[in-house]
Amino acid sequence: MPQLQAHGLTVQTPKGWEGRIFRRAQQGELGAQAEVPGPPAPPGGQTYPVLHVATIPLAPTVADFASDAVEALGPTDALVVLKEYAPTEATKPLFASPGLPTSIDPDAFNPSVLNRLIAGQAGLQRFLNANNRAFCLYIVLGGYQRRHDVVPGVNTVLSSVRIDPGTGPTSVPSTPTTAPPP
Amino acid sequence: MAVLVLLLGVVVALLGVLVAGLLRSHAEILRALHELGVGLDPNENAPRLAPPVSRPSTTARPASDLSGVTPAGDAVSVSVVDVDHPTLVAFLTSGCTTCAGFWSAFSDLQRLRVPGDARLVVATKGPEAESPARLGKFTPPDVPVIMSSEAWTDFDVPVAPYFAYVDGPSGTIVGEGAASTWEHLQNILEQALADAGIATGPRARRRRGRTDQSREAQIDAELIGAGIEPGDPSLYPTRDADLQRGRPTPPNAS
Repeated sequence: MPQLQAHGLTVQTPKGWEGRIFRRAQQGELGAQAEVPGPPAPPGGQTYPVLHVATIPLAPTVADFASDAVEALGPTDALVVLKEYAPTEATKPLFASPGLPTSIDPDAFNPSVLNRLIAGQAGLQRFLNANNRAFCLYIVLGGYQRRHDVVPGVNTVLSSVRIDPGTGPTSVPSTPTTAPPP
Repeated sequence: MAVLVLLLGVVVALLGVLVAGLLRSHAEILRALHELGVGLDPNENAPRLAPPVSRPSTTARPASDLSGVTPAGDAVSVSVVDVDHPTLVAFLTSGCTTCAGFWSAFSDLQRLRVPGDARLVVATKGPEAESPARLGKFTPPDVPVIMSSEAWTDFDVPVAPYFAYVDGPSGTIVGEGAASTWEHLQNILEQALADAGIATGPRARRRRGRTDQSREAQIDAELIGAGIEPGDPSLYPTRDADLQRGRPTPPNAS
């Protein structure tokens, strides 16, 4: 399995899945001219890493919560988003849940928990903290009725995610690697 | 004096041999470049149809998924094996003049007609061999660009630009070669796909296996037999309770 590592996040993508770990450009960053989609953050604004892993092709310009990609999800497809927020949020009640869940019950998915409501799909959203970092986990299943077939694959992905410690936005490692898994 | 003239003559003769060797080497390089579709004449505007550097069609090679970094320094992986769509992997560099035409063509993906409706992905060499900053000037907005020298090794890329067409379900490279223009590449690929019996129309990406098609037909027949027509509300449950109860009662039913 390819291993993606960037911005203090690591994930392994099983066969048939693909992924990306990126951070949108901040004001004045050279990255704004290149691959990173969208305009840079306004002056003073901070951007944080986003992890996407999916069983469908993801365009470079896909939105943070992939609202422009979910309509391509088929009945056995899934999309996992792990979006980081400011480290100061990690101690807020919303992000009080500790650690990334790695064994999600298929019945925890709900057709109404969707950023973009599409018939037949289902979603799940969790706010959490890990290593002094705040995250929102958002998962979309292409077919609610096939959730018992698809969620084990999602759990495999989640089990491979590693979140490095962070103490602030500038302390997050930014050197990406695609080293083979140990 | 005679010795000096003799020595001078020998030196001139040696230099002549050296120049002749260099000219021959230069001609061989030019010929090789011309065969690959890379011309050095800036006034030559007509497209050159470079013969593809193709491998025998009988040796369908397995493809590999791509993983690397983006020019912006993010980590990315693209799955081309065990997926339901074909992928056209374009191996480009930021330096070759022929590649410039492809970078330009890829900047408007909406107008680009990729044979077989394949997903287009660009693979460059990794950051140790390619400048991310220079690549950033070429990077098309809608096409994934992966910097990965490993991908070049995996696909055994001999020159740039080079292209590999991967059939997702079988995970094999069904067509590969070099081309000098996008139009040339389209022609080569459409011919290769036709030879391989692969559809090249816009619906090709959605093609499914026969098993899926027969299963879908069987399910359709059973649903219609049970009185569930296309558009029936029971096909679109919005709550878990809908599934537990079975077919929901229409809102206007008594």
